[in-house]
Amino acid sequence: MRDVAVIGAGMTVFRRRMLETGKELSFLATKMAMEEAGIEKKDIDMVVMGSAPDAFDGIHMKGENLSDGAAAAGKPYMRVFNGGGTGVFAPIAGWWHVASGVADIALVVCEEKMGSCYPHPQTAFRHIWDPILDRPLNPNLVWLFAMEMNRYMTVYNIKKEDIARVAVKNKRNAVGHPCAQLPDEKITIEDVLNSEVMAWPVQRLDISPPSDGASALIFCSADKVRQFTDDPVFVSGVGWNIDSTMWTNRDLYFPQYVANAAKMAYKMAHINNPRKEIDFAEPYDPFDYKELHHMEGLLLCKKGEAPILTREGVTERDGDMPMCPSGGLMGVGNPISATMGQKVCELYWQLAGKAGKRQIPGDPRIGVGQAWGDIMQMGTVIVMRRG
Amino acid sequence: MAYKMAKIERAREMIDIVEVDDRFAFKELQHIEALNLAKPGEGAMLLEDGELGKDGSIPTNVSGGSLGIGNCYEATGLQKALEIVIQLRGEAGRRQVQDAEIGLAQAWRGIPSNSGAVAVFERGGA
Repeated sequence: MRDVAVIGAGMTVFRRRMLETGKELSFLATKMAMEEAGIEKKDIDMVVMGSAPDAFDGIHMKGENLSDGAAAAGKPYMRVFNGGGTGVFAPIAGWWHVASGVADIALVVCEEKMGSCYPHPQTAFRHIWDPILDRPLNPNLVWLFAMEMNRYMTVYNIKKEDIARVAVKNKRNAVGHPCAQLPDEKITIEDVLNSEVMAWPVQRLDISPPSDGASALIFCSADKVRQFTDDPVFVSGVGWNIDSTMWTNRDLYFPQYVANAAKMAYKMAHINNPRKEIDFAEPYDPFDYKELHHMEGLLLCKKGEAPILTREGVTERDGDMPMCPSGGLMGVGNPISATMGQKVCELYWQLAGKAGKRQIPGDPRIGVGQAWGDIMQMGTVIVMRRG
Repeated sequence: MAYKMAKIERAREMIDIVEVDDRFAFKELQHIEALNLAKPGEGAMLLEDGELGKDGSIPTNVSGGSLGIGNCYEATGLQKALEIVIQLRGEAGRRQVQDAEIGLAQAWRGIPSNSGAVAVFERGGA
């Protein structure tokens, strides 16, 4: 396998964007990434599109629909999706295009337009369930994750305010992110604890907002990267893993599939002790408790230790192990696959020293990004390092 | 792209058997032309002359294709690849094409994208 570097990234503002089509959002992110890399459409060998359920945009086979906005016409093109895991899986697919040697430069674009889903993007999730075992329960994702959150809190005797701390941290981290939907400098733990109960223990401010947006990344083979930059950022490991759809048959307190994906990525990246060797992380945080859950799944702390480290400030941007320095999904927004912007583009911006107001102090050299998808069963992980 | 990787310079002469998308009858002819197995507009003549049959010079869709077997979208593409593997292994029974060494499978996504994918298979060893 060849070494693969990142040479450009782009990300649109995340919010409800009814006046722009998915193609236009894809175009905006693609243009930013190409301008940063200093390349033109003709320089791109292959294109990968990441986009989650068709039901959001309301266009069936939307991969094809979005291709024109992603500079793909006349090129090898594919769409990948595994629900929320897509934001990290799409760049994994971009990585293997270059690592395998079939492409020297691969563009990855992730787009999601949830605002057009009527009456609410949650509606699209009515049709993801097993028709015999799950559907009669009339499930929705908020109550499903309420069960997981409850189980996690019960096993480790975690207080609600220790989980609310994550929402506060990430919404504050998002202040200064040019794309952020819900940054809030003044938010307090009390605000989260006093917000409307959706399905106990999940409250409104425990959840990231649905959004419209796009993000893009450009990968380049290591032997060509010096044409573009003297200080490249490399992909050093990738991993992905799926558990059974039978979520009723496993203990929800620990995401084993995330740990499996992380072990695969760490092995490839030659990381033996993730807690010591990794400088910062972007764990997937569609709900505040998920950051803690995934921090443990990524083996960045002991099981049950994530809320304690968060309380001690270890995961703040200036702490020993910053988590979601971008502001995450909680602060920047959650247009499913386009969260590649926080989970993978952010690793690049931080490692390249291009994160502006969000820059982690010190000298971060290794970062890990992770996403989570399908029915609580898919873990996708990417490790990046400064060259 | 696939021909370049497979080092196929003269597709018409080098490829022994093909499975191309035939979800509409005209697509089979259009696809063999696009694959450089026939000149533009030549597909129908080859078919009339029997060249696309099991004993012809370009046996095409001897499996029966989507028109004969059925069309199961994503499963159809793999059916085409599977048929080539079975033929190259010599396990195709009554459908067997004699002395097939190199085979090609092609799939088409259909509107609105008109995307195409091609895989070339070759019998190894011996």
